[in-house]
Amino acid sequence: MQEHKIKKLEDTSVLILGIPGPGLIGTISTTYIVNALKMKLIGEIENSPASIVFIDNGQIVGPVRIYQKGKIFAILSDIPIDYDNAISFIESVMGFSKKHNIDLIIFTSGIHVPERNISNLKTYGLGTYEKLDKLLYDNEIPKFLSGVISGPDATILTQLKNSTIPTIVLHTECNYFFPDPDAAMQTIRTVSRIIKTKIDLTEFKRQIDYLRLQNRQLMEDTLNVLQAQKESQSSPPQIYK
Amino acid sequence: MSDSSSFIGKLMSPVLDNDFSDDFVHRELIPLSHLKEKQASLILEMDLPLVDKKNIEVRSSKNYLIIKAKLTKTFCVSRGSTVTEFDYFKKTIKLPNNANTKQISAKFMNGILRITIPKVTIGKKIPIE
Repeated sequence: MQEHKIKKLEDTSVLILGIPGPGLIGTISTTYIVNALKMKLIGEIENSPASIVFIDNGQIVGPVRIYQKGKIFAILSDIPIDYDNAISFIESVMGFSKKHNIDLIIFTSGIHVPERNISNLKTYGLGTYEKLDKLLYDNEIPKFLSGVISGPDATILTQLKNSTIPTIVLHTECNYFFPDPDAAMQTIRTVSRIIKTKIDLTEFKRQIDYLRLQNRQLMEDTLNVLQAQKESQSSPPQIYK
Repeated sequence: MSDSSSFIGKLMSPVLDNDFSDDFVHRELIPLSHLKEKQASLILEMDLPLVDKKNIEVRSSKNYLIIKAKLTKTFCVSRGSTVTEFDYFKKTIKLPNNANTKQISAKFMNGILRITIPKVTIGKKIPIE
């Protein structure tokens, strides 16, 4: 691991990164954080991984957008990032981070736990620098000790690990195959603790069923991307026993 | 660039019944589902948000499994001037030949329907001397 000086959190510029993945944890949680904190749309990642735009009130809006409120930034993708586009996507994210002096990236994702306890979901953390372990400890986030991460998350993590920007990856126990707002809510709570900003979850709780309904198509598209990658890959080597 | 997170707000907010537009289309939603094969059974999971257990109907007919579930509220999706209303989830699944249709069981928890389809055991146990 590389050595890196971590600033005090009050002086830190944080980037929250949410992309579609297992249970759509990254997308659902980051979307809500952007909405709850009333973050402003400040730009887009232009080399988006797919030829798609949204039209909102006659305005063209890209699928990978950048939001800001004070020192908190968020990059949110509404389309799955496939293996072919993962590197260019994360290079754009790192380019943006360097340009805006981001001190900490929080990458939100999910990990499949079939028999999880929905009333006591856990979020595990992984830092790219040793000093981030203290941040995890201070926020009562158990460390992701062993396991395998595959798909675009793995590519993104590899790039972030080799970069100079400290990154925390949050993996929340989730249902891999269906949109999982309960797990996303746990992620929001964890992010809220890290960034020391209160996020009201009242509206989120009210919309849980609708979030599951509205995100069905995105979940299906995401699984297709993850499945395509799974089929093209051989089994990962067994590192941990 | 937009000056607020209004776009996000629109993505987050559900469109409830009796909204605008007079061009309504009534359709059934196809639930997200996932099939997992175990040694002695098949496990079919279905995501059924906005559904009460009492409003789910699981029926097996010949080689098919039909799942129908009524939503507690009408779910509407608007595209342009067209609003599509959804009142039901419905999915028909063809069962494999080795499914034991008489022993199918179902459980509904946290909005997920889990159907266990045991496989028919073919052959006889061979004793080892």
